Amino acid sequence: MIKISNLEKFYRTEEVETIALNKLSMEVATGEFVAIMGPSGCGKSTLLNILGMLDDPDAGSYVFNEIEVAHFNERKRADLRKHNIGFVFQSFNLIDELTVFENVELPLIYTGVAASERVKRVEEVLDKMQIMHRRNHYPQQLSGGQQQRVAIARAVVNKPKLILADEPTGNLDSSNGNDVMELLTDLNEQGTTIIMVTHSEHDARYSHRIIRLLDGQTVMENIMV
Amino acid sequence: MLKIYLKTAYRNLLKNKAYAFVNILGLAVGIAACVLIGLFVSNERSFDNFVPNADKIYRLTEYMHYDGTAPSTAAIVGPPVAPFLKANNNEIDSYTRVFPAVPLVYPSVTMEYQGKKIKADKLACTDTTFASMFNPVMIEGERNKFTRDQNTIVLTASLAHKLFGNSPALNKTIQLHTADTSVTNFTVSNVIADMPKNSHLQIEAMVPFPKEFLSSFLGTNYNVLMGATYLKISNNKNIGLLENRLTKTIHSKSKFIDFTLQPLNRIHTGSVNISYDQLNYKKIDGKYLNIFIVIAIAVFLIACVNFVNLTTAIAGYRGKEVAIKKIVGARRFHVVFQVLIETFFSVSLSLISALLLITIFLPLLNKLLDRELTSESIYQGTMFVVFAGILIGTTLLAGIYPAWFISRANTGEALKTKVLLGGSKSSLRNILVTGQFAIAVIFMISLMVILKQLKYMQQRDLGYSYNQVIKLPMDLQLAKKMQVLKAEIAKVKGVKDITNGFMELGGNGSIFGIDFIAPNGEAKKITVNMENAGINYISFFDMKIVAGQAFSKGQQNEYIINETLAKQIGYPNPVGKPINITSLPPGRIIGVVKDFNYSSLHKTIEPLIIGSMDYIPYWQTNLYVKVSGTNVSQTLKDIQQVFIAISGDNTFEYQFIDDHFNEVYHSERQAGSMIAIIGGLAMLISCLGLLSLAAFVVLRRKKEIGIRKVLGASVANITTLLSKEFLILVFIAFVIASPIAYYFMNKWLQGFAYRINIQWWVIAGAGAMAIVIAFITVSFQSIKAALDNPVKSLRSE
Repeated sequence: MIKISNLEKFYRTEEVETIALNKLSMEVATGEFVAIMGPSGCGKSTLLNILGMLDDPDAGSYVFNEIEVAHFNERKRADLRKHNIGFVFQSFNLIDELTVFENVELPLIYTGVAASERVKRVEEVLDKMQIMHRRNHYPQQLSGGQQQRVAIARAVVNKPKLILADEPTGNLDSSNGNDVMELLTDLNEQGTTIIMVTHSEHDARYSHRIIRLLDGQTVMENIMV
Repeated sequence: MLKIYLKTAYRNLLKNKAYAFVNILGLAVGIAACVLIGLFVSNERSFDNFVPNADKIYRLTEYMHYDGTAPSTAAIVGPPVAPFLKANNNEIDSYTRVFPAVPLVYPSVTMEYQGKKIKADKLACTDTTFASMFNPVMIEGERNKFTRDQNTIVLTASLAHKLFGNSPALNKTIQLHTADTSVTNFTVSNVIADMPKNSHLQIEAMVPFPKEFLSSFLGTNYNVLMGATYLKISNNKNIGLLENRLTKTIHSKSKFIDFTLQPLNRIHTGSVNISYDQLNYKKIDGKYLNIFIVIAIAVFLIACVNFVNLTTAIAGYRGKEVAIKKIVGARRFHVVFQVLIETFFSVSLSLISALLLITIFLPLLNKLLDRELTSESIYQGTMFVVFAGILIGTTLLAGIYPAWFISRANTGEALKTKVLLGGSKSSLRNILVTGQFAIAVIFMISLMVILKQLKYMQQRDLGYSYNQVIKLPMDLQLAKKMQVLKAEIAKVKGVKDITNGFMELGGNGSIFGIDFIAPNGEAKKITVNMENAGINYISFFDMKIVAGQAFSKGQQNEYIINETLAKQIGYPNPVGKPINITSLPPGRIIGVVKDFNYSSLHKTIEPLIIGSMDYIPYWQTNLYVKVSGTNVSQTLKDIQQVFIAISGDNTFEYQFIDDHFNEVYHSERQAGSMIAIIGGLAMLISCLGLLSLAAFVVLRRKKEIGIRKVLGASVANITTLLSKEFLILVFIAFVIASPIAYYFMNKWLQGFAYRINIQWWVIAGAGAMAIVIAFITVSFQSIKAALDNPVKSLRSE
């Protein structure tokens, strides 16, 4: 599903150039659950942003579903992204002014799904995440665990092929964290490819494969058994 | 999709309640001020436009340049001028004269019908052509009988109603008491609708010129200033050429007159510089209209700038929301559209509030500007177009930039920092804030200059004193009883002195021809202003005699002249020299009075001759009574009683001369009040904007403030740090504004013969005030931020 080769990304300030990704290459097959680990500043988030097409690389190739996307413009990336990729963040990133229902509905609005169909799909996914009873609440009224469920519901409501999760349990206690990991595992078992950035060895154990990064390069890969 | 946009817009407003309030209110005030001024200006501009073929109708104005006197302009001419011009120039299709009937045709007029008496102040003598030129709405009678026959009268509907109630007026006969004893019967030939409120001609009744008047001395005089004359000219391609021809024509009768033609729709706004003007209802200086338009646009822009600034500032904190929306699939146009919808929503609320404000403040504006605008005119078809224009225009103006600004945000970046404000990104905002304050400072400087000039005019030594002096106007009948009246009023308790005069103090003076023998022996004729005064006039007004003496008894052949006239005549000591007013018996100069400003301070002092001719009641129009400062209202009541007992008339009008002078400087006062109110609003809106902006800057620099405090910065350090950013902008605004304000105010002051100089400290004072106000505004936020516990702000990061 994903093939990147010699990917490079630099951050420039007035005086210093920082290399975030240094000729990084990797592949992820459809249906895989991959964890990316590494110390702060190793390029995990940069990699995730590029994989999620939120950012473009400075050099190298990124093939998504057999399409070269490294040089896509923002509009093309956005199109590809909204139909194929769902995001889950450490800080949930829900919109405070929208209710649970409206937050989850948002991706469907932007992909032009009809209103009646939207209600059906949002209810379906809220039900699956067991937060149907909170549908009219605002994010601030929910616990962290509940917020992350909403975020996951929003990530999957469009039935994406790939979910990118950036430390999804980072802001949660261990019990809520485990619930979230179970949810991700379920999704993966139903066929969704998952790439997850994490600091937690415990969470990483839910994955099939761990890629360890250091200074923008792959230093090690562990295959989980 | 639209639903969710509106929902987000609504919730965003609720979330930033205080800012939303400031934002919406600021814009509402801007729109309201703009619409109110617009209403006023369009009302003024609409004057006389209802007249059919208004573009072909001109008022004859004359430029008088008698030898030896300052030239002046008049919009009133002699009775024979119009027929003479028409007979000699076939470009003139028709003419209509509209002359006030009182006091030159008739000394006074009271109408009577079945014992009901009405004083007719707004009676005019006119020609039959009035009906075709001004096209009044005929309610009764035939158009071709309009002031056609002698002793017929045309009444307006409201005057007819006063006289006859609801019964028809046509062909009824009323009595006109035109002097002490003479009564003439007039038959009503027509009833017309009242003149529209936006007609410069506000007359209530019209009669034809009496035949005997047209053949009298005045009726055949080309030089006399009597009444307005309108010409209809179909071929108006080259008015300049026609003016030259008319001037040439009149030079065969009087070589001191040049003609110009004033378009009908300029009469209301373009007559300020005409010295002798009549029947020009609530005329206004068109220059001020332009200033008002500039003010309206300026206030509107300030409000818009505020709106843009605040929207952008709030939008800056919506990085996260925008980023998330983009991640889940929003395109840039979705974001732009959303911001525009939200802006539209806020602007709509502003517009609704503005309409409310307009309804509330319209009466105030009417009072201030002496108008009768109604809020109905706001809800007309054209105004809806204007409002729709404002709605869409403001939405685009105020929405496009924030929309562009937040929609271009880099998704990953925005998600991480959650704030879209960067250093360079706020430069546009800095420019806007600076512009906004520059406008406010211009207002403040202008206001201070106007107030100083008004104060100067009030306090300037005019060369005479009118403290506690009231003026009682007299008509001819009363003037004949003046001696009794004066004697009786003098007896009233609280009356200190009494005198009489003819000239309008603070007005334009009344010009008369005089002749005298110049030092070189040459007999000279010039025109000067004339006052016919009571014997004690000079002492009554505390005027100073610089040579000779004041009047000792009322005589027909003794005159006092002012210094300016003395200089013009040319003798080192003119006392005893012969002088006479044309058509009066020869006289001599008995004294020279120190120059005093008998006209307004717009004009320099012109030559003046004062006589004391108590045998000419025509020239006794004002009684001046000096009252003591205590128990004034009782004194006035007593005077009224005496006055009514002698006049036999129930009308008693009086005016303190102080108040009269306030009227003389009415348009300056009006402009002053307008600029004070609008300038205050501009400053208020600017400060509201600054207040919110400061709040956002504080929010942006919260972490920095926290770190600085941890490192030992004092509250004063932090306050200075935060205030400096804004004060620099206000200072730049001041530097930009002061030369602009100086330039325009200097130009305005040129309209006064006696004026203040703009001192540096007026400008510095206005600037300092702006900076202090801005500092106090910003301090609210910065002190609060400086007092905050740094741990809180650091933790929240």
